[in-house]
Amino acid sequence: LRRAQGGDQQAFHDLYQLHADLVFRRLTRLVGPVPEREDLMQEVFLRAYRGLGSFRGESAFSTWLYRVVVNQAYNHLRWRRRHPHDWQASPELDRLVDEHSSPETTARQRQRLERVLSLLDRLKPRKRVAFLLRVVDGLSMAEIAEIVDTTPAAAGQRVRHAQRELQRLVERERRKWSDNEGL
Amino acid sequence: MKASEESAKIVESIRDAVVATEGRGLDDVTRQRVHQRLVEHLDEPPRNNVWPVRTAAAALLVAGLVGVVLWIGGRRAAPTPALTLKHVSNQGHGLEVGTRTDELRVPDGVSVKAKVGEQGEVEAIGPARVAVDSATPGAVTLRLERGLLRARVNPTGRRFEVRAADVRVVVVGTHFLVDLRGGEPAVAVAEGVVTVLNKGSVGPRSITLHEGQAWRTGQEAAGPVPPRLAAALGVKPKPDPQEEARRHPPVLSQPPDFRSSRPAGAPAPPELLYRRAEAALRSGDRTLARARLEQVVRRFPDDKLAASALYELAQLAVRDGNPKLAQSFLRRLQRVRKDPSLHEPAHFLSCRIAVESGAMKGALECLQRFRRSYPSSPHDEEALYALIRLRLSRPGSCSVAAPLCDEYLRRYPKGDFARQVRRHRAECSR
Repeated sequence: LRRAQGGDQQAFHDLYQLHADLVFRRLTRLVGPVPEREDLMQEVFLRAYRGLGSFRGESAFSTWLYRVVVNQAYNHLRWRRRHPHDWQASPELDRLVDEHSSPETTARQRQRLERVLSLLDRLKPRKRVAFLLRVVDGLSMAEIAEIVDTTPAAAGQRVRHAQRELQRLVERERRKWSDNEGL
Repeated sequence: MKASEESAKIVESIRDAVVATEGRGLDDVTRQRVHQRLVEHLDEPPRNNVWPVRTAAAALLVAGLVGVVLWIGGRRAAPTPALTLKHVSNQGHGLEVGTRTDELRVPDGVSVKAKVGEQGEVEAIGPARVAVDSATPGAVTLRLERGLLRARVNPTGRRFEVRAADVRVVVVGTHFLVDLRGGEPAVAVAEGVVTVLNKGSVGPRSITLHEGQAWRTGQEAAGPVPPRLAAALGVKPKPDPQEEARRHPPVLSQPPDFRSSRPAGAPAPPELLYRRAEAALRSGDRTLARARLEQVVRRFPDDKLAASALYELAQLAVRDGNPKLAQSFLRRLQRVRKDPSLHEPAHFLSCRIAVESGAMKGALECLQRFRRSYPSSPHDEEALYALIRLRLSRPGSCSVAAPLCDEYLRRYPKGDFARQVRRHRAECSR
């Protein structure tokens, strides 16, 4: 890390190799399996490289990098509020369903993913990110607050609001559709 | 059901679905591709300080001024339009060269060429209407609402899509057209490969079109480009291959030469071939993908893409249940000196194949060599766990496995296999 901070590109490449999987996984969790993940990942590492000088070791490097990931995710999710992603037509979801299952099971799995990702897309980026950090990563409010740069109380409020909003959306969907398997 | 239980169920369901979206995670080729793109952008040294206060103040001032101007104008800030008009055959219809827009309305008798960022170029032949559905540095989606659209997409560009009625045309590096003049979409390809996803009720759901092929809604399979579309595409119509073969039977059986359809002295660049292989893989056409990848290796053995192609070929061989062939591709990859960055994942893949094929001695040696060669590899954790499993598969080998378990728990206390390793370690201590 110290060598990378000094501008040693080889050291930064080693950091990339160590953290690439984690960054990609975190981005996927936060923004979903969109084709733009590669670009976002590149941007995360570029920003990390250019901002290494500001890393003073007050937190773990992975936490600092998580902050960069979250900021990129915010940017992307804000852009996506204006340009919604069409999950129904998304070929990325085809790769995620179990291809060895029956066509009915595959279709059901796919439909479930589409539904969940569309629901999450309806949340505001800040609420979505806080909610996912809490529910999927299992982070404490203090950890979330550190990553999204806010107070633990504010992080808790975002998570609760997101949860309430999701529940409302699911109920609305249930009233709309009789088929509500999976949610 | 109580509200809290209901809420917990929803949360659990969302968590499961979000975890499922991770799939197999980052594959080695993507990891490598992003790495290469990063290398190209790392020229600037890292900044040692955060923004100077003056720069931040200036940025705030400019942002404030822009805000005031927009507020006065009653306009909302919008992202930059994706299409830049490059050529208009007959100006004066509100279509001026240099204009940036997200929608093209081209009157009858006019044709408009527009640049789509770095992705490529499109030409709408009037009467036509084209709109940008979405545009990011990574993906562009256009919607053809009427008329004819000709497109030339850069092979280095990323995802490019044209939607017309119930049809989606997904391309990576190619020259093609979409015709909606007759009401039902037709697609013709002059160069490269496109995948057409058909959401209509008639015809196949997905079809892959190669050079010289065309497809129209309602057709069950691709056919040669009809003369009308060939003229619009700017290529000579090719005769039906079966008809041609009947008229002129081949004298010698020669391997197909990709370059024969290109101008003399202009071979297909490896990037283009590789992109075509990727497109074939995406569309599930493994045979074509394999052929394209082998072309990359055969024609450009010294190019860095040869290593990527060999890696893909090895993965295809694994999927086809041919570990020997996969290993031979991986051995060849290790000899590609131009781009050693794939050596590490190739070495690991080779070990995984050895483990899965039950060659215990070979797998042990492979994993030990791998760990010695790449001590900080991202695959080290998995390699170490595989070693522990291999050691434990022989009865009475706890004395060798226990130190490996200790090493794992020291290096990866929160690792993916930590629970299993702790259990193995406890069993060895008994």
